[in-house]
Amino acid sequence: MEFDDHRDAAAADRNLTIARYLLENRLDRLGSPAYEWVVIVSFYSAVRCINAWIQLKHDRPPVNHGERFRAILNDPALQELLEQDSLLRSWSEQARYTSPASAFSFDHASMALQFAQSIRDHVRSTDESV
Amino acid sequence: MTVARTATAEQVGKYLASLLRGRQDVSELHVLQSSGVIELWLIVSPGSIGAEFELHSMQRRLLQQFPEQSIDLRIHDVSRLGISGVSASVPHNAIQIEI
Repeated sequence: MEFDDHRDAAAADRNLTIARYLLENRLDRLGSPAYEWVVIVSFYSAVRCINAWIQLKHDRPPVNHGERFRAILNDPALQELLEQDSLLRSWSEQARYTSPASAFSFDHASMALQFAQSIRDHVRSTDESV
Repeated sequence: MTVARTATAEQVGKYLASLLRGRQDVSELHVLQSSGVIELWLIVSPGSIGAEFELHSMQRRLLQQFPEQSIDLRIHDVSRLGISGVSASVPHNAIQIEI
């Protein structure tokens, strides 16, 4: 199976599109931009993308964040993504459980989307080169 | 130096504390041994997004130091913890490690 054919890759792309719409504030009925949701959706794009890669290359996806971090570090194709994935995970968890919406600014949202997109681009380009 | 194959949560926490000692932007560290994973919560107050990103290199340092462990480090900015604060983000049975 090619990376782009994996269902998690399709989910990652859909999440990237949702994050982009949120960043552009297309949900105009909200009183303020949903930057916290840009962070959350960007993180889940990264998770689905990385899980797809790990499942295709190592036959099983990680079952928790600890396993995913370990798999990222141990895979030469992924290891440069570790800090980006770790930051996205922490921001996403804070956005979902503890932070007020105002805790995440346009800069946070832009960086989260940029990281998720770069993870997607990196994995796709790596898949094409092997 | 790499330590023993099966480190405890407290050993991993103390190693992380040794890396962070003296930093002004780190306030609390908590650890918990869960099923198959050592979880850590680091409460920080970084001055910028860049400084926060740099703190996430600790995830790599821990995984390299304890190659046999599943490790999950969460780094939470104290300014984003909301009214319920640290207690909302760290399990009540986690152990605090002195930094």
